[in-house]
Amino acid sequence: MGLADTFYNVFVKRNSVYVATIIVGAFAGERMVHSIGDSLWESNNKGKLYKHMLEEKQ
Amino acid sequence: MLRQLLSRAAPGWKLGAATLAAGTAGLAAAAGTALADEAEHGLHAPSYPWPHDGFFSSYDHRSIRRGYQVYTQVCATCHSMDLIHYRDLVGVCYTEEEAKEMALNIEVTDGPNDEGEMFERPGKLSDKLPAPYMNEEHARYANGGAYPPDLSLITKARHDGQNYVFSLLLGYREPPAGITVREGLYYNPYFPGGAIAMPKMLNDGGVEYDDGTPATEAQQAKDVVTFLSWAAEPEMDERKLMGTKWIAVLSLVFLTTVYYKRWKWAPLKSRRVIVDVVN
Amino acid sequence: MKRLSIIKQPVLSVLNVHLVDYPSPSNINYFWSFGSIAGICLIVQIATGIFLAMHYTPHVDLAFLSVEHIMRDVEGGWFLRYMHANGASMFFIVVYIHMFRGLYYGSYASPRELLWCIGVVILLLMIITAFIGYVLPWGQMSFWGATVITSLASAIPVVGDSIVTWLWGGFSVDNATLNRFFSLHYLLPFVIVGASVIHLAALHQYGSNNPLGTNSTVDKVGLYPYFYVKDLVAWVAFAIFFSVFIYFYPNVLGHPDNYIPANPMSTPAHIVPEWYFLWVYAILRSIPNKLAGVAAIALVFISLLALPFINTSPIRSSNFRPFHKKFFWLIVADTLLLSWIGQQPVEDPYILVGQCASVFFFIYFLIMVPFLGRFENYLIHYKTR
Repeated sequence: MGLADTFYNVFVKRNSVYVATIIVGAFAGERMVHSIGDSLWESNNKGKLYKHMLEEKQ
Repeated sequence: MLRQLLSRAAPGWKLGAATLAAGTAGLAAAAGTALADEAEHGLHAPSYPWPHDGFFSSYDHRSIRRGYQVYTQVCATCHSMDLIHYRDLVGVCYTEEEAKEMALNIEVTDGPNDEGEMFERPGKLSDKLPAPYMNEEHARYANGGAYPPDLSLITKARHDGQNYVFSLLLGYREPPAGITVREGLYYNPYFPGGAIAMPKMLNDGGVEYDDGTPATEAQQAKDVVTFLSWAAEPEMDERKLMGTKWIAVLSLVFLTTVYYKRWKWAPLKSRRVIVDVVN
Repeated sequence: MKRLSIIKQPVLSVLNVHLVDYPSPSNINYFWSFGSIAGICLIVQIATGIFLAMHYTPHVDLAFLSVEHIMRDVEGGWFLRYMHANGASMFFIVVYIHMFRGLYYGSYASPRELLWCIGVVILLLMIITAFIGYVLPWGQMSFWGATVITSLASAIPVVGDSIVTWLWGGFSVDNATLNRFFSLHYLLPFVIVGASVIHLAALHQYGSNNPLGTNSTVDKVGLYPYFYVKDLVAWVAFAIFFSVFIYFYPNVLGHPDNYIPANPMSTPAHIVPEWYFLWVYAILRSIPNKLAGVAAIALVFISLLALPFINTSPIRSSNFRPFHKKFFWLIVADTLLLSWIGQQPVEDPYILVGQCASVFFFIYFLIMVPFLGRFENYLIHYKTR
């Protein structure tokens, strides 16, 4: 049984599981995009952001 | 000389060379126009590598803070920034407490009160940065007829605004031979026409930075331009971060749609059409 | 009794027939997606415009400040405004490609004359809407652009000056002008929606043309799913292109002078229209006489309207019209050249180049279109005789 079949049997076969996967996936995906984006932003702009300025002052 | 060369050359060459010569003359004329253009519209500013130029680069918020200090200590004596309030500085280059304290130091006319009188009160976060003049007439009267423009949008309101303002601030020099500048004006090649009513304002040590950065002339120019860029486009940090996330996600969506399209179209693309010619 | 599916109910069935089950030629390429992208542009402009209008104030003292209020204080306001401002440019890019596609593949040719002509009317409505919309932020270019363009009406003999006063609602571009422009800018997009529905109805009378320019009824497949999934690719690609402007180059298509509040006492060094008007503007300026310039612009739209009727080619697609194919690319280059000339100062090399480009523009539409059809047809018959 290939990977695609496993995926189908676990997530797609039952409609309730399929819809739940989509909803949970949307939430998780958004969280992931934001956390990856924000951490890349912070590392790319090290020392330039307001929060870095605050940290240094304290 | 040129004619001799041309007459000796083969006819095809002749035409080409003539075109080339005419083209060169045209280019020279165009170059002359370009020079006249630069005097009229101001010298083209060189492009500087701003720390916030990249598509994923934020403003240098320390520089915004220093730039605000340059603005208040130097520029604000003549230039207003009507679109900027003390609240706008909070979370950008000052804490709420710091901004409140700075606002307290200005006097604001408010009112009318219950008795119908206008009154003075200390500034609040919601107040605009104080304007140096009451109105345009007042500003012109105090500056020999010249009107110092509001700086809230200046880097967006000039072509290549950041590089232009930076070059202008550092561009003061003696006028070249043959150019005289009227009394009360100053020579600056970056300014359209070359004569500007604003004197050279930035000098080494002319500003005191609260973070101890040596306040050289170029440092002040860079910081104040960063501050002005932020003032003109305060949304830039948020815009770039949001844009990168959005386009990254959209790219994945794009790949999905390409796959989906090819999958849906596969039966159409792989069919065999038989043209059955009748008789 | 079996109940009808909801999509088969009388009103919804119209949508089903025209937007779901509609049969389309199987061979139309991605250039056919620009029609639906233009529809998306219109929806985006109306949606963002409605929200902008909630925060905008059409008054000469407040318009500029209210736009800056949107940019700074309204949550997501900068996004709405940059989307609306760049959306206008996107709309024109898309519609110009849509029109050039029609030109290349002969989509305007019989029996689709009405379809093309309604499209030209939509373009005219778009130009008016975009022009008056650009006045609303009340910056320097808004004010002076409005002054220059509305003054063109004064070239009309006898009644010209009265028309200009009537357009302005006074003796200069002022508060009355701004208010009526706002009102019309809200109204005209809905007229465009109406015209687009008629455009779609005219399209569905004979169906889409196709890249071969042959009888389109030979091999058709349903709009759903085939062209929905295909257009989806185009829509997402367009969304990415659009996003690059909104998020990274929001002001590159605008003019810096429009961030200076309108000032009737100070004329900008160069008054330049938005980029999508530059080709018309170049034609207007290449004629020294004002009335003749206005007449030339009228002739541009008359040429566009006349196109399907003076076309003589029995072959639609330029893939099979070697001479027209060359001239098609020349008219594309000519339009680009005119757009470049339109932003240059009125000086010597530019005036002459602009005049030549303008003349070529009319030569293409009024001479080459009728001539090339006959010429290519003659060659075919000469060859096969």
